[in-house]
Amino acid sequence: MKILKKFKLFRKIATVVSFLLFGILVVGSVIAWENSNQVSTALNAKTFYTVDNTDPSVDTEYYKSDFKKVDDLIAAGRNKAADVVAEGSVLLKNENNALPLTEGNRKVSVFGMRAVDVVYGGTGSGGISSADAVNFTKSMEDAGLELNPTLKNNYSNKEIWYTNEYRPKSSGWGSNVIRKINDVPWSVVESASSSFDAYSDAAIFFVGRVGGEGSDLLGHGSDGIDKGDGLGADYLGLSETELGVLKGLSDLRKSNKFKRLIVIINSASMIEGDFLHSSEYAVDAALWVGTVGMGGAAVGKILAGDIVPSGHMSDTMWMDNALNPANVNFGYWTYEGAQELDVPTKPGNMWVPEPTLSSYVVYQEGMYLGYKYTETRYEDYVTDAPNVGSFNYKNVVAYPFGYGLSYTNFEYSDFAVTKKDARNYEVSVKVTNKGTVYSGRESVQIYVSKPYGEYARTNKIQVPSVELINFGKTEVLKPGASEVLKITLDEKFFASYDAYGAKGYVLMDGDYYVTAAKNAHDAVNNVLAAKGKTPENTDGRMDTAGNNALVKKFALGFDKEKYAYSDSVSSLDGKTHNRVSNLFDFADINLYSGRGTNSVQYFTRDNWNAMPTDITNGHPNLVMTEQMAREIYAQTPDGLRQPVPSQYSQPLQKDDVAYPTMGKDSGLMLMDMMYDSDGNPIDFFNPVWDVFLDQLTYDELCQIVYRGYHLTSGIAKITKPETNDENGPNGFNQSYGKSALGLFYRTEKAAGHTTEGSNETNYTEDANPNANTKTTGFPANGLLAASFDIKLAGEVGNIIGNDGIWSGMSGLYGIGANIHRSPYLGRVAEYYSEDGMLTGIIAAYECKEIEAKGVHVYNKHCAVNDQETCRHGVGVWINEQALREIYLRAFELPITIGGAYNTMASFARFGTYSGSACKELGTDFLRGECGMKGIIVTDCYTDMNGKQGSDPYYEHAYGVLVGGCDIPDGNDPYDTEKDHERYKEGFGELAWAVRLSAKRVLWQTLHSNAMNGFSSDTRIVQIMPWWQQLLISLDVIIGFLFLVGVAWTLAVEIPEFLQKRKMTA
Amino acid sequence: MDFKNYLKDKGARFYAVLVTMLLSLVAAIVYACIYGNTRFMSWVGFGLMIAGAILAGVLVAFKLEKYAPTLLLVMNFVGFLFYVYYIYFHISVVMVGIQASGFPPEFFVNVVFLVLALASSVASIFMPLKKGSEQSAYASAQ
Repeated sequence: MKILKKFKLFRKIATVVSFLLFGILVVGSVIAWENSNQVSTALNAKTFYTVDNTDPSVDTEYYKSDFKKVDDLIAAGRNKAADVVAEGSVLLKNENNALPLTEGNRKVSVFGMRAVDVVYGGTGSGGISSADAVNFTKSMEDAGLELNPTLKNNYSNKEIWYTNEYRPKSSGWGSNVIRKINDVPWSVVESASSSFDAYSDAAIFFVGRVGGEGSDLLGHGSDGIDKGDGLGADYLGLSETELGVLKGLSDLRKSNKFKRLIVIINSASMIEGDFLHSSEYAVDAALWVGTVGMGGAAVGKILAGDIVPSGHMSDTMWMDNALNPANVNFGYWTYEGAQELDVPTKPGNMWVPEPTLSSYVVYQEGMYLGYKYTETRYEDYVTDAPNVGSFNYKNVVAYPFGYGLSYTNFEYSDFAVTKKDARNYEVSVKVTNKGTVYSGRESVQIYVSKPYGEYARTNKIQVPSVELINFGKTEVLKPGASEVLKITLDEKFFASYDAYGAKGYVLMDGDYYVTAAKNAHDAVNNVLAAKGKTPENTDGRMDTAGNNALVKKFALGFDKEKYAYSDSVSSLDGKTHNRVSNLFDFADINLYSGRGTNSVQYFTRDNWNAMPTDITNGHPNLVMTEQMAREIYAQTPDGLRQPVPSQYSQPLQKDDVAYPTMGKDSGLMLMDMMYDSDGNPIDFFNPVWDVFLDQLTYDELCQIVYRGYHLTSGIAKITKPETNDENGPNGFNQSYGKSALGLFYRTEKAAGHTTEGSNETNYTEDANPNANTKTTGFPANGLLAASFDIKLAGEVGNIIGNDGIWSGMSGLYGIGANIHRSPYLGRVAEYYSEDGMLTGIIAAYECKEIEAKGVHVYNKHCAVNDQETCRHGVGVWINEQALREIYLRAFELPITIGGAYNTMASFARFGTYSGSACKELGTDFLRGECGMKGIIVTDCYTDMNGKQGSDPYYEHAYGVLVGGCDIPDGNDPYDTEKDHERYKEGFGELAWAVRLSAKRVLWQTLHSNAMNGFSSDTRIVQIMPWWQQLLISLDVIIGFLFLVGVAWTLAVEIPEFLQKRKMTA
Repeated sequence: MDFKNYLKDKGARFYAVLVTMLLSLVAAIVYACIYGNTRFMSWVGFGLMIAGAILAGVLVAFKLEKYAPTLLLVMNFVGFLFYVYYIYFHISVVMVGIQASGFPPEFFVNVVFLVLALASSVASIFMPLKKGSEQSAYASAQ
């Protein structure tokens, strides 16, 4: 006992420290276990190993790389990124042939902080590595430009101008993030003016803006007043500081101190273009380069004339974004009456500021988005249609959709449209390079103008003046050379979706005009010319004469049956062409059965005057109804993180459906499901799949369906590898040597350059040094769309696919197929265009080549996920015509043309149903109409289930049961919400739904590059990763020490306590 | 009760316990005020801290303040662990930077109070129980 009483301080310290350590370790272990997939991935810890008894003569590379060495792939990827910049950059202005900077005109002064602080990509899932990216300075110098060294040093030196005061920077949280434009003011720049004379061939001014996941670009100085705090009056307008520099440079340009003034716009989001048309600013040339990814090398070459720009705008550039009527309904509003119905309207919290259960936005513009608004209203203005209101095109549009200049001139001739068959037309147009110096490529855009007649008016079908229907791009044409482009038009896209009358696609009777044009505005002028309009006979309302020779007019009769059925075979049964009919009445507030007294006036050509223009108060006010509340809460049946108000409680109901057979071993491995004994492919509906699935236990089925954070779960028993499914829309942002499934690792292993260890991948010094090199990061997808080049899109897809093979990625959380509904959208860099057709076509050819390499795309975020503000659960109200012809077309074409396998569901709601809980979207549209073969993953699950702190609005079991999705992007349904335990008995219908989703997961894994290196003789052995073994050991050791401390303390204290009591007594 | 006599021989531990009790109450209230209507609120953690402070008061009242620091440490630490468990996801989101670029001031205010209460709990264990008549733990160990 005396011994025990000694070392009192040591005992106390040891007990307290071991107690604290034990507590920290226990909580740390719980957290780590809950996120074991992420931890293992972050630590690159091995979770399985393979035992391979495959005959070496068997080729197990089912998806082959086009590159023998990763070094070649890396070089090709970087070059392809530069090709995107080369082909997609848009020359907006080039007065007096200011560009290119020819020999003898290459001593330039470069201004603007964005010249050195380049915007390479977006933030969040659109983030890319800039490690191998080429900055503008290097790009220009490599192209032979001589840069003013004083300015170069001043802008890049942290002791001079590259300071916190002048650098662009972001701060804050989520939707409260503040993006400061900043820049060096002219009064400071002017101090370096003595250096200008020697570098006066050109003043090149860089402006840039950055956006990304989690926040839009609204709310930054949006009161319209530039307070000199770095925010500007509007984030997408030039700030007073930038305008000051531009004015200073303009004055020097006007006095010929500089021979030319060039502006480079480094932003995925289209900034306001008023300054490019202002006489106050003497801008000679302007070039939009988007965000450049790893392809910045092309910018200098464009300036130097080594590359001739051929990009055309993938979005409209507005003079003033306040004139874009979509912005009236961009953001979110709260339903009136929600609180009275016990639906929370409070803001979320500091991290997720917006409500998730009671917010909405109305896509009131309907079909009239972007150029479909500007050109349609222009046509109606020209034709003096009733109720057109005041509209001055030149005050609204800085540069129209499809616009782009070249260093040379192209002429279109010999335009013809012929009917090839019952469905397709062929456009033929001869393109001639009329220039004398530069070779170049030209994109030809084909637009259709449909009849806006009695049928359309009666049935509220909205018909934009012109709609892009297809396009083509020439090869490089030397001066004087010609090429005849032949472009196929699918008549299906002449049909309009009639949501209120026929409830399907209809060809309306009347005259159709097809025109080849250089941009959307040319297209409408051509059509107007074909209708006999000229500037003269319209009192100058028509701003430019159109070219009637580039228009083909033909008449079609009314037909509602020709395109009544989907082209694709339903993946639900493998044989049916589904009848296309209204699926989304519940998302149109005018058709929704629970609308109560709500109604909305969508934009209509018949009454432009009724169109709201008040950005602050022009939105419709909607009232929440009881049915809305009930449907919203149905999607959180268990109220796991927030109890459901009792009146809306709708837990999943038990049923008497028998569970499927489970755990019946038949010795089949996943690889055995590829071919039958005769070597024929086994299709999805082959009964042998039932035998195969019967092997899985309930827990194994649940692991597949309830776990999915950037992966699909591995199941050792059937040799189903855990796959790697990673972001994102601009390419994998992953290291080549990261995964043991990758060709990089397997190549090095075969060469003896790997070592066994606790990490998944270990390399020796002899290994290829690119293990940590990142896959190629591509420029903004708007730039790829601006190339109007499906071949280039395919080549980008090919690089991404090859990157997947080498890095061991078999799933891409991309491409991003949402729509640039507003330039203020934060994630513009991830998506392609304001136009659903352009998005759909470019994305389709990109997806096709990605899929060809066994990388399954998860095209995201399907659909109407067109804003970051209140993205979690915002209820989008939209009519089905706009939904199908703009927003869903962008997802449809990648599936029907590109064979896209998978989809990521939207955070947003279709009416009241979140993307993941929408059976009509997942089952009826994506699988039924489009024939999608793979799986649907939720977006970040913890953003929806309340773990992020917002009101929970979706639980995974509900989505699986109704057919809205298959797996979560998260592990909570299994690891913390315990769906597999809660629904273990009495939920047979759900069990069958889980089995079907598991089958889809297995099917898409089987047909992916994750199976490269696997044969029927390969086995997976699952192991506990090293970090779990370490944590368990530490828990035991520290726990033991703590217990010793407690026992020691009790051994001392209890006798003392008893003795004291005895003495007191 | 002769309050002067009662306090006469009280060592630093007694006063440290009082301070810790107060800090525990304040920390718990601050925690509830900042996170009460969010999913980062652990009401179990909050309850443990409040209960710790109250029970410590009871021990003091029954002249068992010797055991109060241990009780406060256990309750405050376990409460803190609950806080960590409920908020870790958001910390990781900030670190990953998906939709954030920093922590708001409330986060730091809360952390400071919780850590102060915890540190005070630990410190009080090592304080002398009585003035003069009992040496500090450090001294008694020499």
